[in-house]
Amino acid sequence: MKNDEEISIQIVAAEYVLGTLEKDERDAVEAKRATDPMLEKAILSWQAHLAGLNDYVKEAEPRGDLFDDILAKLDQSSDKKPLPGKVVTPSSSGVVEIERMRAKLKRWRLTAFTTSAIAACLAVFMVVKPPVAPAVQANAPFVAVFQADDQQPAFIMSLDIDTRQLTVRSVTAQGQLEGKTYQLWIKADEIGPAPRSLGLLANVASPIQKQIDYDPAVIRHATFGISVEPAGGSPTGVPTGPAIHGKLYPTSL
Amino acid sequence: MNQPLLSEQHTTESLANLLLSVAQGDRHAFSELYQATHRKLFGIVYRILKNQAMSEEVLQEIYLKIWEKASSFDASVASPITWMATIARNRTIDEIRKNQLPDSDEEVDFDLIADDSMAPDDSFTRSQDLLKLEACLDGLESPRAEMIKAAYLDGFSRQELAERFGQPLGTIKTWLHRSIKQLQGCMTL
Repeated sequence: MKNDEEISIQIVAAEYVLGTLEKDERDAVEAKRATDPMLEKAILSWQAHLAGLNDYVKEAEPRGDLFDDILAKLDQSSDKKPLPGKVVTPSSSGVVEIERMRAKLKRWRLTAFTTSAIAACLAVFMVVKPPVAPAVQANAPFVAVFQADDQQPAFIMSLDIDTRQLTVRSVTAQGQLEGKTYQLWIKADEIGPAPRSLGLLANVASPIQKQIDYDPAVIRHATFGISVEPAGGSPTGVPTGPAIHGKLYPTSL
Repeated sequence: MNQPLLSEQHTTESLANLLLSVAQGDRHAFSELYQATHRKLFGIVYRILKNQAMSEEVLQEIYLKIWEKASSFDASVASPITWMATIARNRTIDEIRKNQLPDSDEEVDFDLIADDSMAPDDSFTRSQDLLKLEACLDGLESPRAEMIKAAYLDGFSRQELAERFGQPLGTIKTWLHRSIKQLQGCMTL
């Protein structure tokens, strides 16, 4: 049984979405939703419930040059402050780069949502199923996400356990560092105490495939790492630069 | 995949990808997004404001907002077109609640609105969302389903609904609250 508070939140949220609230009431809802998760959730829920009504709206045509005006306003506002993603040089802004990364992750995530409801079960990370190169990726029931900190790009890796083929993809288009390279590692108790190299990720602009010879059961539970190394790879045989890690998660139950 | 809200050949996924590119400052993607969606969004705005010039002004602001907020789009919460339509409706409702509108281009004939456009645009496939909502609206006592549609589609305030349906304001409030409770139960089944 719902309590009165929940009912009144639902009513306020629904009226907000319907648009029947007066200005002061709308303002109050907008101020409150930022700090009231129940209200925010109710608003999102009513937006979804009522969105179908947009089907009733007939399309209409504004004047033809309206988009030019929109672009002109964008230019004006970008003179005052940088717009998201305006700076695309990766080295110039870690923040921009991380935004690009998030956007890409979202794109993968979106595909995961549209292709597999299972993805929702794995939402601890941004869960992904590679959307491209389906011929290569079709039998890739395991994925790992290498979540970056604010300085490093993230990677997504999928594994076809039958062929033991790993596919690693950079989430950033331009992940190359001057005079450096990325190196992929595997670490598992069965293999030994130190990480073992799985090779360099020399050109991360396109997906990189690696055949690995370890037992599937070992691969399945291993920790994978990607480190930044001098060009040519780690001089010591173990990771020397900053590394990010990931583990494989099944994409099916 | 059918995209019931759009006449262009865009799918939910292609629009989401455009939004993601827009979030990275891609103006070409922004242009494509505009081309794919502006007629629908303008339809939403114009139906509420019923004034071409003001609707165009508001539509500009809506797309600037879409540009700014693209990075917060989350495909797990809403479809791209629903997300954009929400921005459009919010901005438009804010506009009419903020101001007394200048004279509209047309005399608003409430009967005509009800007759002419309370049915979905036939050129679109009905979405699953709409089918479910319609089933739930059908369960409301007449004329409350029309009231809900008039509020959502035409942006009527409670006062305007009172005039439209010839009822005291208190009755409209009661109708709204009861309809919301009933829809809430029905939609979450």
